[in-house]
Amino acid sequence: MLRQTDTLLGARPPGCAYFEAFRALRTNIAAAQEKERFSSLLITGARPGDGKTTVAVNLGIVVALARKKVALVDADLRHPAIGEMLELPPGPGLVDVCNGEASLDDALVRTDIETLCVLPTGATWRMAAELLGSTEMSDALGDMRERFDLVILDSPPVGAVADAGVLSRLVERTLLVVRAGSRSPEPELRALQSLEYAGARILGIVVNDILPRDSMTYQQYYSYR
Amino acid sequence: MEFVDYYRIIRERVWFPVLLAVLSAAVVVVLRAIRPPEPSAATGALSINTAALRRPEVADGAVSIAEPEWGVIAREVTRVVQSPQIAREVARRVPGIGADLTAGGVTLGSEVARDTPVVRVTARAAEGEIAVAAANAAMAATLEGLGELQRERFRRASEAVAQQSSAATRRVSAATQRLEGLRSRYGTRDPNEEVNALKAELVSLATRRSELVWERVSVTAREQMLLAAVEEQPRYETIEQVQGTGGPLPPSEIGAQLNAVIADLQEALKRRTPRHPTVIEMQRRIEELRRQAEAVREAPAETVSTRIPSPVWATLEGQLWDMRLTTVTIGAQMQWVEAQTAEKRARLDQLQPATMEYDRLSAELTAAQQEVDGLEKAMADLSRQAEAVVEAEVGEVQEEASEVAVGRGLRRLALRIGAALMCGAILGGMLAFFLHYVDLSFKDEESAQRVLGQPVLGAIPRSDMPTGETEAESPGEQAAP
Repeated sequence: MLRQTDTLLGARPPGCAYFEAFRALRTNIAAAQEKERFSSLLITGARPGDGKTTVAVNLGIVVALARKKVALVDADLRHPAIGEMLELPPGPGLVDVCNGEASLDDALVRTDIETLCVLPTGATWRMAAELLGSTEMSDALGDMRERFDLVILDSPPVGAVADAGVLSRLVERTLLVVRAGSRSPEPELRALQSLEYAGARILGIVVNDILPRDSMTYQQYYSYR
Repeated sequence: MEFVDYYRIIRERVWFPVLLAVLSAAVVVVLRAIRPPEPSAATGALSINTAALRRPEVADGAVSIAEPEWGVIAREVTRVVQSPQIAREVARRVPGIGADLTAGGVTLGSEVARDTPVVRVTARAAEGEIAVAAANAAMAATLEGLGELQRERFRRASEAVAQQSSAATRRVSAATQRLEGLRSRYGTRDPNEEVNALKAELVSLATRRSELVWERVSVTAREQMLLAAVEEQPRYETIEQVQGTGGPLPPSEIGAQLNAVIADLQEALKRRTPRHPTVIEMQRRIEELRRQAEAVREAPAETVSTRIPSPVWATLEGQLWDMRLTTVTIGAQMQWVEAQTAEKRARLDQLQPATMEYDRLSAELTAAQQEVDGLEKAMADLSRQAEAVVEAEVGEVQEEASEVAVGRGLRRLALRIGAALMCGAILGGMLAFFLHYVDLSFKDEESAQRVLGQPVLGAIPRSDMPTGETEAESPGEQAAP
């Protein structure tokens, strides 16, 4: 189920700088958890294509590899991508749980990593923002927070729809993914402003797709050994 | 930021400095290609006599001759070489240039040696002969110009000294006139001398007055004593009294005995009682002597058998008159002394203000006269120095100009290309830094954190995952801290 691609780590990720970067991200999140306890984290971005889903999945994998119980929730009801990325079989998901048509146990999908469970979108739903802001969604998230060490929610971009703002109020921390490149930072600044208006507690940002530095790389380090 | 960060900024836009450096060098090459060929140049050398370029300085009525440092002289020589006067002179002396040096395509330059007093004069012209002639003419004109400059400098110094001397002479004249006016106004040659003499005379008069006062006191006392003695002394005496034939004692003898007995009685009363026989005897003797004196004094003249003037009385009377005469004389002398004192004091009061003005005018006159003397001496020194300096040569042509054919100037071109490359690279680097700081897009985690103001928890690089290679990380890995 957790296949490895050029951007997806898989159940047995190879040693590379890309993997090391997610390990560093995991370390920083763990450090933040030690300072102030939280168990739900929303991964969002300012615009489509920033790499939110990839970051969410890979973060779930590296946290689970550290023997933490992780629930990876595909909360992007408009363009669900986790199920396709992990090649999950069709079945009940978040929409079904919120609608009461399936239980959380039935909807959660176990992966090759024992401590990593995935909650796909499930059935399609047009009123995504209303569903995500419902009491059932809040209850389901509370249930998952009790059962897992970290619940990671993948959400639509902030600038496109209001789902991210709704979700940011349900979770304890929000992580903003930005893609490096020569672009204007206006969408990211507006996204941060929107999240702050929505009452989100921004944990920090993840800069995705940056050019490797000139300093000693992972490969150089291991070849040095 | 660390050094590696600056390096990264430059490396991201490395084509900026490279492109600007290449463009700058290209511009230099193109300008070189389109400019006309370099003209011929000629260079000669002037040896400067720094001692002949000493400078007179007039200050506070004194003249000093200073020999400036070579750097100062060198700047002056450079100014002279490049002055319009020299350019006109060169244009006048060298045929073929025309009226204007610039229009004739001739440029003059100079190079100054740092340690030795040598100036190299350079002339550039389209033709080598003109360049040589212009350089030689410029050197000759420069030497003449320096000489003229030096003469002008001394002439101005002389004028300055003469002006100062004239002003000082006027001040002497004015002070003398005022002094003479003061002398005639107060009727004295030197008020100070007269004041001193008056003071000495006043002291002498005061001394004389004191002596007269004491003398008068003494004479008055003696006069009083003599007057008392004359009143006590009988004017006439009997023959018996004079001859001492048993008659009553003369009044003077009675008075003397009476005084002696009274003194003895007073002495005796200190030791004895009033009832003592000796005391009683003394009292009786005193009574007897008083009766005798009373009897002699009150006895009518006819009761005296023969009356003769008393010589004692006459002597005392004569002395008394002498004293009275002396008193009158002393009074007259005192009046004279006081009159003299009042007169001298009045003159002294009149002269006191004049002394201060006299002193001030005298000092002014002395200072002005000294200044005149100093300036006359300075003028003499200046004239002597001027003769020595003007006669000395300010310099000589050390090396005649010879034509130097200027080639393509490859060395200069190389230097300019190098400078252009450096300037272009620096400008490009500055442009790269400028663009880096105005560019707000995310290039790395630092720029993202700077722009968004949020901590960066992760920096995910582009995936470099190899295929078919795995790491031994397993679900059993320890949780990260």
